[in-house]
Amino acid sequence: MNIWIIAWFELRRMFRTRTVIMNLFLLPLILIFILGTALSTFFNSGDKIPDLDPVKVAMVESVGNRGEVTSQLNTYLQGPDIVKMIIVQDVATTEEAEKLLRSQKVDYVVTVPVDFDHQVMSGKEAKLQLMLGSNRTANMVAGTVFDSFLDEINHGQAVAAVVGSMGLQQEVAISSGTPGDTHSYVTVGKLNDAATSYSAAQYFAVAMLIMFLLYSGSTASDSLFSERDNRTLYRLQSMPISHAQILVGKMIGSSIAAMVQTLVIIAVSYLLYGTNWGQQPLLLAVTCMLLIFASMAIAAIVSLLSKSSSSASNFMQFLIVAMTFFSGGFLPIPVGFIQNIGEFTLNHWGMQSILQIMLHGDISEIISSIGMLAGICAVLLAVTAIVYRKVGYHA
Amino acid sequence: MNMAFVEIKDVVKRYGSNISVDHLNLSIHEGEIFGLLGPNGAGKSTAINMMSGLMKIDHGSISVDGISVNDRPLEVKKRIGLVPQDLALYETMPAAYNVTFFAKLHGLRGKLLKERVEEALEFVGLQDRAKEMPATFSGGMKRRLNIACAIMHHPKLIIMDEPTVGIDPQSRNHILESVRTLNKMGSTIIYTSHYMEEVAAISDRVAIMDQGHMIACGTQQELRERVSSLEKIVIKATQITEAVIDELKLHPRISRVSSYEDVIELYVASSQQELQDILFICAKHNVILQSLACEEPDLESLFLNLTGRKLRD
Repeated sequence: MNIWIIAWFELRRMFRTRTVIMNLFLLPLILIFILGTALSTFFNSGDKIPDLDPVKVAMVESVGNRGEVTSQLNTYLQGPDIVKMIIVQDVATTEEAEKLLRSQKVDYVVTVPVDFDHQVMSGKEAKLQLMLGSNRTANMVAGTVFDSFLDEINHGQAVAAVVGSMGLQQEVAISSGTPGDTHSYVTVGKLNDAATSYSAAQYFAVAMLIMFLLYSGSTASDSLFSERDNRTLYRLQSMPISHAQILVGKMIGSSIAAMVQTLVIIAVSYLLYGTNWGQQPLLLAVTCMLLIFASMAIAAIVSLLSKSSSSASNFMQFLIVAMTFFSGGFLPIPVGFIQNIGEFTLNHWGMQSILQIMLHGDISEIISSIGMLAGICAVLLAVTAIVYRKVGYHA
Repeated sequence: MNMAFVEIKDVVKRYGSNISVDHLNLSIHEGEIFGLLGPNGAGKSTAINMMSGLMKIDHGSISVDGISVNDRPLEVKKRIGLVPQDLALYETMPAAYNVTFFAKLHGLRGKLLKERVEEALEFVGLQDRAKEMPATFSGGMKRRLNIACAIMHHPKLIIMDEPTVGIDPQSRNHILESVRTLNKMGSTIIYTSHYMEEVAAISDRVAIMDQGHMIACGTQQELRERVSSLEKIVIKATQITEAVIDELKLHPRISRVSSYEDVIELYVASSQQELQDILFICAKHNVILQSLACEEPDLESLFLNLTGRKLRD
């Protein structure tokens, strides 16, 4: 019971201090806004992708080349997913197609060579003649569509080379399917639903949330020292309550403040900046709780081992800033060895977990990151217990 | 009155190679005001910390109300109200909330909690400032609030460690009066100070500590009797030199000589017999006398007699 009296008192004392309120709530939200806005150019995939117009492709089929493979190509190009991306216009000659390309009436030209079917059926590599336009994006879209088809054909060639012509015929049969089959070699996914895409606001909301959760440990450390410096710890220890209860009570109070901070940051960033925190509130809560526990454990260890409030505060500041930097919390750092160092930080595993939650990522990956956090927490709590037994928390 | 409420037996406390409390033996009776007198660094605060269960005892034992401090420190703490030497207050929390917080830790709840908090604040004269922050209080008011935070649970034993340091005479008198009242209400009081006058004014019995040792213990009358065979002569003069002090010290019938500022204090068996010699020595060294008085020995005299030093040296 006394633990909760101390925790509640700690909470009241914190929320009466203006600077604590500023540091807990205002500062992180301002930083999320500033970093999210200023560094949004580093992130492009999270912003809504504009609908692209289908690419206009002029296709030249040589006379006398109406074989099985060319039919497959035509069927493939009529598939529902493909027609959203390219519109094929049959053109008689390459010269005519080139004229259309130069006058920008089409974006891309494909010529099916005379011996295309023959080449494929004789087991040689399938090649189309491509003429690129001036629009880079259109070239990329059309190139991807035709490359996908050729990759599939060449895959069949490779099978034929290994298992013989029977295998090739079977492969062709499997690939072509029944007439009119609109089987597509391209699978269209949604990048924002289950991939590696998030906005700058989302990224920095996560990074700042984690950084400020770690700072809640610094606040707890200051509080432990203020009890010592103001001599109130001496009086507390003259009360019928154990020293450990005082320490735990204060840590619980600071943890509750950090939980309130988490809720406020998540709610306000969602309402003001539209930050999507995903559909896994439970896993998000577990991640934040583990980060808070880890932060409190670090605060306790540093406070128990430090001789003065300023040395503890400086060490905590250094640790938090360093962990945030190496984990890419201030700016994603595409340097291999820094990313490797980042993997040893709490921020890294916290960010991995929360970003995966935001991206509707695989549950097993989220659980794996949470597991790492839980492991780090367990180690930190064990170290805290050992340090407390050795050093104690005295006036 | 004669039951030992606090029993200290052969207690030793060391800090590295330094002995802070050296084989201390003491019995404090239930219902008395016990003064613990000694200069700074005498070991008073260390002794108090051990009695309160705040510090481990290296050797010996302490019991409070029959309960061993070593074995059941939390039970002992329930019976104690400790007024620390330094102010131990949350300056940004209202005065009433300071008292309430510590009262809750002593297990007070509900209506009783509210009554006790009001009673404690009224006792120290801060009922009208209950909602104000201690940060806005004067030094004397903070000292009184410091006391309120230690008495709201009606402890059987109140330990006051130099509670009047750095405050004005009016607040000091208020605190001393409060100590007497608390004692009349049934609490045993241990009052430490290096101000001899304070301890003499309120204590039933006094122990004098110096360098970790208890050098004297008893009622004020008993202690005075230890030095009453000597008479104290106080000479106020100018041009006091080392030479005159040295010659006075060499006199075979002058027990002790001390000097500070423009004052010479001497202890002799008979002032009438030695006065002529003393005046002769002073005249020989051109000391210009301003006044001369014979005084009753006090606790200060006893300390000087026992240690050769003044309490505030």
